Amino acid sequence: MLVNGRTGTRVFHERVHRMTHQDSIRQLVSDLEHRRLDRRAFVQRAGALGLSARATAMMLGAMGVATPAVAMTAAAQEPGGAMTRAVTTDPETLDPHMTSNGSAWTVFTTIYSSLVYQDIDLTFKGLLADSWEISEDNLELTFVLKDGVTFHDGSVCDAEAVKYTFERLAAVGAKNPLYEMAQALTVEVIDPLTVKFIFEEPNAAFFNAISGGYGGIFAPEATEAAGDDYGRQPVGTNAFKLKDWQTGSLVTLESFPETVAVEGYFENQGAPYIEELSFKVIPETFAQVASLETGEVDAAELTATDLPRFENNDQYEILTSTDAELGYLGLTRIRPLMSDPNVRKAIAHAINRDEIVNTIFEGGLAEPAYTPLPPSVPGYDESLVELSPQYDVEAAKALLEEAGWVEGDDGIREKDGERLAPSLYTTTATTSGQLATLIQAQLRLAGIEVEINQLEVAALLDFTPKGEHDMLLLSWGWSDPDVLYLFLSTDRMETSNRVHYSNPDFDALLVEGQQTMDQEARMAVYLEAQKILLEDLPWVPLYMPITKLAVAKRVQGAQVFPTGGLLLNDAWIDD
Amino acid sequence: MSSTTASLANAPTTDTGLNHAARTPRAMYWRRFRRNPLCITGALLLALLMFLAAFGHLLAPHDPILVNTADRFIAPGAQYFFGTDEFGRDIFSRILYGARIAVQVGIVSVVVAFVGGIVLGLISGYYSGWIDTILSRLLEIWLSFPDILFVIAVVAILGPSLNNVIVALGFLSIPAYARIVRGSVMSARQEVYVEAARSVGVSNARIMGRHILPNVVAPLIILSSLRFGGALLTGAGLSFIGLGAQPPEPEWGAILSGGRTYMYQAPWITVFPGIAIAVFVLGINMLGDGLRDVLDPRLTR
Repeated sequence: MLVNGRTGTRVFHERVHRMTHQDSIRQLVSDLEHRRLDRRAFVQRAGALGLSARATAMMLGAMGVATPAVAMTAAAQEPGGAMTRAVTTDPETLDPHMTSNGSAWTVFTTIYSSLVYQDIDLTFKGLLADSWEISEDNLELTFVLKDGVTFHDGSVCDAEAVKYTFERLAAVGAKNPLYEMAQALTVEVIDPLTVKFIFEEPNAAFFNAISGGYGGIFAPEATEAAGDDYGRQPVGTNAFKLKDWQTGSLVTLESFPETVAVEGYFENQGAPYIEELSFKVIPETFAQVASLETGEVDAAELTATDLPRFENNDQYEILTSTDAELGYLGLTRIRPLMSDPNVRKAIAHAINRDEIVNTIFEGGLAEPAYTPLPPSVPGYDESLVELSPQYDVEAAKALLEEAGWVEGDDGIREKDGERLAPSLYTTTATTSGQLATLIQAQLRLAGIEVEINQLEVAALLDFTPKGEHDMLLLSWGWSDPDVLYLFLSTDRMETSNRVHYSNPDFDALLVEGQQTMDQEARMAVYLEAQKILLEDLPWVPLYMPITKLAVAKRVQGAQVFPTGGLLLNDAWIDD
Repeated sequence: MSSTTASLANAPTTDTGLNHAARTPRAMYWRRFRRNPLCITGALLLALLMFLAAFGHLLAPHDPILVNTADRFIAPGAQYFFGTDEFGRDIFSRILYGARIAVQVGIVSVVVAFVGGIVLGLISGYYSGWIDTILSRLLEIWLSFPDILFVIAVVAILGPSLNNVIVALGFLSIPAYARIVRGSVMSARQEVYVEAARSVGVSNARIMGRHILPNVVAPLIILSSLRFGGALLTGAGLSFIGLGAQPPEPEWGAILSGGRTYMYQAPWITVFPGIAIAVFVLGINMLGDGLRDVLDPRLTR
């Protein structure tokens, strides 16, 4: 009772806060204008006021703030020491072309660097690339690479390596989100440090796509030499290189002094201070937190229930990021039960997002999401919120009546002798099971009986292309609106379009979105696309997760990107 | 040795003259049963479990699957005897309803194994020869799979559900039954009364059913009680890892699994189903051990 009362109140206050305390925000902006805050303090305070990462970044951009991300005391930054972070599963492979596993991403983003990176204001800056030029028709993109960059094995990162990487991606990278993109382009080496990308169509999502670990540049010789074993012998250019890997338990990386640091994030442009970075596989979130408390690991993501304990503990620093991620309930329209728009709309009306956020995320680790692109993803538009069916059980019941589903003896609706008992598939993760249970209870109130089926992630992802699920409870993370193409386009029907959605008008808008280079015009396209989705409802958006990473105090100066990802070049060990 | 037991059970009840009617085999077993503390404790616990399975729904104060987020994480007390979980569901009611699932898992899987094992064992033991060779090798291969792996594999093929777990647990135990039956049948086959039956032209099926089968009942009862406890434990284990009971079924392992995340905050979610599993599995195993002592023919003298 106490627990619930507390979190319930907290969320309520936060809402009121956000609506009526415009003044706080004005004060914050004014502080920033007068440089009373450095960027990091600003980002933290903006977060406390409930501003989205995107809004924060836009404000920063508007103010022209380009100070380094952290202003900290230069004392005690002794090189050396080791830190360990808990991850949920074994990475399986560290070949970014061969996986879309979250734990693998967490590890390989520290091993590989990409041509460009996304700065804290969400603009793109050069990382392995020194500069670039875009042709007038937006079909040719020429990168000039930084001179003297070497891979972990000592070979030179040059134009050939870039060409090799993208050609390999196009050939073998079906699991990589950049696969289609790589297939629709040609890479030409102009000279050892100049490389040209020639596109079949203009692609506005390109920079975002190649800016993370998935766009990491490979060392051609090392990759070819390793062959099928490459996933266990990755070679990149980033701050850490693989040292040891005990399958299923521990991945150990060591610092790579010749790395190219990300200018916008770090004061330290040289080698990382931390000499050894390990990722310990701990499947249970409960056990991860216990390991954090015993000092076995230095950083772990907190679960909702642990949050209060750690927030009031000065032995840990809590790093918050609003993930560019959406948890959604997919409704598979090709299934007879889900083919009726009224049924889909009724389901959307029966979902109580506040209860989901307050119960499963304890009010602290997620925000309700009403739009297909949540506030943390560019393309989010507040005007869409009211187009999204709101929680209203009576409306849900009325829609079901209208569709001919009448209540049977046990309260479950029936039509022509068939019960309204859709199947819901989700993963075996604890949170998935809880979400499924709560959604089952919520839909029950509208007379819908949900049959829950939990499958291992890999089994679930192999299962969805068959189209035998009525509902799907899953989430995605991607920081460009082109994510809609990835998960809902007709082109992706056999792979990542897990809800078997197909709408030619929507597909046309997705193509337009990819080819519109002007950002404002591009966002307008995605506004229209989302309107179609809120009408067709292939997804009922549920929540946008917030990640709270607890870092033990012995690790100083660690940061996270506003939309996720641990940044360690300024971090040092203080034992 | 089991044949000795059974022939005693089969033998006509005669008065030896040295003792009173209490020396009939049935009375003798009953007396030993009463005097064995393992048996009595185990039997009482099993009876309690059966009672809960039959009448638990009448005793449960709340709906076991009703989500009531206003009453989350209430500590054990007068309103909720065992407290509530993260959805405000009553743990006490869930455990009562869970007893029925536990009994279902135990009984159905044991019956599947019992029937399957007897059929295979009888055929294998009675006919011997090449049929026996093939069946025995098959059973050995079957036995070589680690228990939990076998069940997980079956569930992976059939899909995660409690029914599939029960079927898998039943199939898992078939070889153990079949081997015991086969052994008993092979020794019973040599007995004079079987030969006598055969000599007067009794059919194979009748010999197996009427004359040989009663010989193997005692060891099968012992095995069944042990397997019952094992099935309950493995079933809970599979539900714990999400492959058995699907939400919101109040299966004990599933309740326990759901409470893991809240161990600090609400330990009662894990503690009570844990106690239920431990106590009843222990009880059934005690009964099994006790029955073995009681029915062991070496103790008849």
